[in-house]
Amino acid sequence: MKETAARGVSLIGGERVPALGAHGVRLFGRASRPSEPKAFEELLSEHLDALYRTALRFCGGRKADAEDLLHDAVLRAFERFDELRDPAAARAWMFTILTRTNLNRLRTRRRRAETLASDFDEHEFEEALALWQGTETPEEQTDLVLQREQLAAALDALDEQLRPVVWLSDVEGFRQHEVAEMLGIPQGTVASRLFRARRILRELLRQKLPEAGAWGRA
Amino acid sequence: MGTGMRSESMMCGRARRVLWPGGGPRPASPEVIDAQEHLASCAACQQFVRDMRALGDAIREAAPREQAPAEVRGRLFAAVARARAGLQPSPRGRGRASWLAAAVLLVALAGALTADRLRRDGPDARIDPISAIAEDHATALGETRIASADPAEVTRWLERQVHFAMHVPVLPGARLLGARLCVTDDRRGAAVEYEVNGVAVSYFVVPDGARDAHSAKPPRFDRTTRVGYHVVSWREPGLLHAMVGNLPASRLATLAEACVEQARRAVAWMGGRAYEHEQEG
Repeated sequence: MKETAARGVSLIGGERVPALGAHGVRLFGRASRPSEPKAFEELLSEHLDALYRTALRFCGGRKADAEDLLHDAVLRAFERFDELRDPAAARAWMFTILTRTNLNRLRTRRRRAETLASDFDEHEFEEALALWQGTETPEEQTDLVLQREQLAAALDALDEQLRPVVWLSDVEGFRQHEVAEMLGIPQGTVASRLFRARRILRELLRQKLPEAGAWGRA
Repeated sequence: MGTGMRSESMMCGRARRVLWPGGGPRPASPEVIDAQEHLASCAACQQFVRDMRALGDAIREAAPREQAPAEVRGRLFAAVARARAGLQPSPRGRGRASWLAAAVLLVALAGALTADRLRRDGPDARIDPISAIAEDHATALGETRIASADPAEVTRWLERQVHFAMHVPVLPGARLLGARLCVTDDRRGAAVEYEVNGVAVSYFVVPDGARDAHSAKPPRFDRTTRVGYHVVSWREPGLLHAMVGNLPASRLATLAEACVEQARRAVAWMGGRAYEHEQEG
């Protein structure tokens, strides 16, 4: 994803973040900073629980790490608050900052490549999709009752690059092109990671829930 | 696997990738049209689409819904306050204990400054009591308190601690957890603790210097936000009441109205003396 200054980009934690489009994040001068002095705090208050949950999942359920991540992300968001004009885009903007801050921390810690070595290419993705073992009866579709604790443990057991995709897409409800922009990866990679995450979750929960319906099949 | 089966499998894989659920609107390219035609006639691919949607729904439904703990919330808003004041935020991770100590120190300092300014400058120079209340909600650290779900027991305990009659309301949809003391302007106040759908809510009654409130009038509810919490407050002569928590302000207002209504009935039942600053004889 290559952005130019003319299209509007923002630097968040050293990362170039798309400043227009799905996130509605734009660059403005200091004069257009939100006028209400406590507007940032109100915005943070509104989204804090969701951001905390997301940070917790990004960090595999480790509360201290999640708080550190959230702390860094919140301060970055505060520093860049004058770049946000559209209140409707505020949620995606804050999640973008959290996601990018997390990516930076992962890179700093592990110096990992942007792309998972095991990310599917298009052909591999199609092969994996074709091998999906579907549910057999309509009744099984209604049997997808999960325990929160079990799902939390299963989510936290996922690879740290699959976890953000399934959380942001399935739980926080962001569209896949938004997730792609947040993570700085192609939309097709979001789809393949989401598929892999769901497949692994089903398998993890199959081991924990031997009698659960659709979860009970590899 | 024969050539025909492999070809069919490839068609399924391609159709599922091209028509991946959640991929958004697609242009009507020949590839998409082929995939849609395949999907219309392939029961396995139709099942795949249903499975993906069901899995996504199940994950969303069962996803853990943790809330940011009060101490985390307090530290984050304190960090923002420091950043707003142009101070260098303390590094996280290395100084968690010092963060907590700093938060406590800030609250103590605010209280001391309030008392000092009040003594020197009179009531007009006081720090906003609503802010002090919200900070207390955020930073309550296990000071003097009672844990009980019995309103009568909590009432008895509070009336031994504070110098005003105290009514502990039974709020709709709220679970009574207990109560604690809070100190504003060097005077003791009460904080009754509830849980509403897993959210901590505090009901504060603190001494208040404002004398403009009149007991004969219905109270006026003021809504605001402090240190990340919604606050619904109202006054009566000599006392400030506030409902604080991370619930929608409208929900807090409903609790506040229930509180006032129960207090009104209690006053009537006690002959109008429930909120007078007198000890029962």
